[in-house]
Amino acid sequence: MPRACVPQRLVPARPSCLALACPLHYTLAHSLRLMPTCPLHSCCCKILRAPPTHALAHDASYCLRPCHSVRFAAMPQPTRQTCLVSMLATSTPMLLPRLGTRPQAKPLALMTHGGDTYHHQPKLPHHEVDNEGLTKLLADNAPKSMKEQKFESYFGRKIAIDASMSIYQFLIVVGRTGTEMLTNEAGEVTSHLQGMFTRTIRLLEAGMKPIYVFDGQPPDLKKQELAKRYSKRADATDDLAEAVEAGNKEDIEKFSKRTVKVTKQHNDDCKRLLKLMGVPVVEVYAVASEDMDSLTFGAPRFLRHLMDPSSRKIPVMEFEVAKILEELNLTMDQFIDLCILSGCDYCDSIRGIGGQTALKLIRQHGSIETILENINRERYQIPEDWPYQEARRLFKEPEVVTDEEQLQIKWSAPDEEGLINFLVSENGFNSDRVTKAIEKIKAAKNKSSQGRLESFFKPVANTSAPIKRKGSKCVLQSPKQEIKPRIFSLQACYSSGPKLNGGLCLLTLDLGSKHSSLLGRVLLEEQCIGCGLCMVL
Amino acid sequence: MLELRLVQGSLLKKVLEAIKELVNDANFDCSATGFSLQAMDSSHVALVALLLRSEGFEHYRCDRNISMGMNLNNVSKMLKCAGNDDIITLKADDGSDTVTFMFESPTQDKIADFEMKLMDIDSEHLGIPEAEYHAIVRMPSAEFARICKDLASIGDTVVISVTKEGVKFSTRGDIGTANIVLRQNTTVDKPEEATIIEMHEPVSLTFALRYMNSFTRATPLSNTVTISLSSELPVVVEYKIAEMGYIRFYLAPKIEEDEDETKPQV
Repeated sequence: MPRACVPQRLVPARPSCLALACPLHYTLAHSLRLMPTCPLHSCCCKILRAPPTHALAHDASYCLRPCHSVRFAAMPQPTRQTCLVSMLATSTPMLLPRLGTRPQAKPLALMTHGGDTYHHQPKLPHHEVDNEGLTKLLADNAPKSMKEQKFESYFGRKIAIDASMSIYQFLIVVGRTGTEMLTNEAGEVTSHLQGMFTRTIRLLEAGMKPIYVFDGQPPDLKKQELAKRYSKRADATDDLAEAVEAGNKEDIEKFSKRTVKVTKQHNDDCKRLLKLMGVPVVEVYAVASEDMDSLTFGAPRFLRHLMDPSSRKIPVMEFEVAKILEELNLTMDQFIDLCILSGCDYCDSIRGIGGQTALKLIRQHGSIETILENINRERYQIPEDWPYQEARRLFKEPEVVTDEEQLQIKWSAPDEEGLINFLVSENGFNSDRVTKAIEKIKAAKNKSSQGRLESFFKPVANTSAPIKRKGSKCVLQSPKQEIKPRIFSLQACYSSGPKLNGGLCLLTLDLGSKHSSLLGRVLLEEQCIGCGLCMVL
Repeated sequence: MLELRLVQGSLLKKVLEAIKELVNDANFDCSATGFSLQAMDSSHVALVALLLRSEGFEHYRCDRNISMGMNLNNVSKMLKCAGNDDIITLKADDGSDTVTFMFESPTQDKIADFEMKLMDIDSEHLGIPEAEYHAIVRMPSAEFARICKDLASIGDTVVISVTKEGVKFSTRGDIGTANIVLRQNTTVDKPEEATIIEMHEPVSLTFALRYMNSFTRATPLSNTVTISLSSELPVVVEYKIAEMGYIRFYLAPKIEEDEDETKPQV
């Protein structure tokens, strides 16, 4: 298997970092989504004027995959080429002549809005269809469960955010050049503080009420996964040493990102910062953080692209469990089984069964047990140690913090003095910028008091039928946006209900485990509070 | 098959001007009783409900309940092409994905056809229960528009309080504060200039002026406006559309948070 086939979430450094590291991928990715306003437009064209083989010599999967869920790397070379070309043709037709090739076949994988022109690539390596695959599966089979929302429309909502994931992203992206990172005078890394500070302010300004959720004890099952990540990191450390010796800049950047590890110190710093900002912090056990896993855990809604920062044109993608179940015609139990089958963090999936197959099997047999009884064991090898029952139990009865004292969730006024002390004196932030940022927090507090209509009126079914009867989802945006790259994605889930007690670990948010490394750059561009060290594109 | 003929075409133009700032895309629902719309703004703070009853149209035909998704800016573009005295006819065929606006000049010497594409819009329809409001204020719509505009130059929010003294609109901003009190006044020459306050219970609520100001774009539709207030309920700002129906705006109040302002412990 080529390396790119390793399920993505096992790789500590998210592949999107690679996209960043490689200028070609970066610009390609850019050109695919931000064509009209891409600041690097001329640069893209220059690169694309090169023969197409050049583009493909690089591992195109990384920059392309996010928009398609299909791993290009795993395809045979000719297929990949067709794919790439047809993709470019649909998204940026003007670039095509420069590629010097015309599309030869029908696009293999074009995710359109309604999901109806999605041509499934039949010979996908199955175990790759992880949670990313779940997104795709839902787009295909339950398009109505996905809804686009404007970033602003989440104001007043309480949003739980996976803090560790955020810190991790910040460490990877904010203010990094090669192996160097943002530091204070004492040489301690401050990237995470910078990122946390600016992002939280952005959420507060939009009137949201963020709650940061820090990982407590990981569930036993997840430890397996964590161990894998650990060994990957160790590999990367070795690779980094090699790269430094060889002086290969691209590799140094790539591998140094992979060695990033969130330490207790980072966590504590962030907790302190957040407390000073008046944002509640919660420590939970059994956090469901791996993006779509949250759905399986019963978060009623789940947001993607929430933090797609300032390029606010991309709508937030909202997933609603109730609708998913309705459209897939599954019960919650079956949905959980489906998720386990198609791969989750807590146990391996069966080789040869991907999302589509899993859905088919679940529909046919109803539960994992019946599937196991009926399945062709020669064709599908069931892992020997396959703790699906435990995984299921974990999803169904997650360990919930019930101690109400621990759950004091309050948004209070920021501690100005404390913040200035912490950020400016201890960590060398620019004091003017910090003061301005504090003003922003205060102004934002006012905004969050606005009530929402849903707290007063409840939705009812509308009796009139649409004049045009179509199964597809609403098509509100211009065709340009039909292809949805997920490069700047960031994910969150929130609960619509006001009650937090008891069910907190269900409303977790995953801050874009995958493709959000670009986010930091945009964040920097827009909102750097003047560390003086950041590299702006 | 849908066919609605509205002699006073300018009415439709005014309706669009009133709501297009608040809502981008919305479903127009047509039934035998009338032409209606319910839509929320993108942040789900304000809601607009429009009703044009079938009796108000010169000709009204609607065979089955249908909803037509439209981008209000586009509708407004279309309607801008109609003259103020034009008769407007709305037509849509079953199963078609377009709607046609036909504009006839009063002298019948010019007929224009504009066809617009419809969209599929996923929208939530909210059930708005009938409620008894604590206080209902009826006042000249121009006066209300003036107050909102003036206050917005000073602050972001308006506190509307109704007591037995009258209705008070107040705001506070960086440069200072403003208070406007209106008393009940029924001794006027024209009934539409009266200010009538019906109060069952004193009430005081805070609203974002930005939304109030966008509601006042409906002022050309009616000489009077009715503001219904109840604590724990969104305010209703209603403009009656002569002999046809109404346009109602609902706005969720600002909520005072009961939190202790003590500095967090670190």
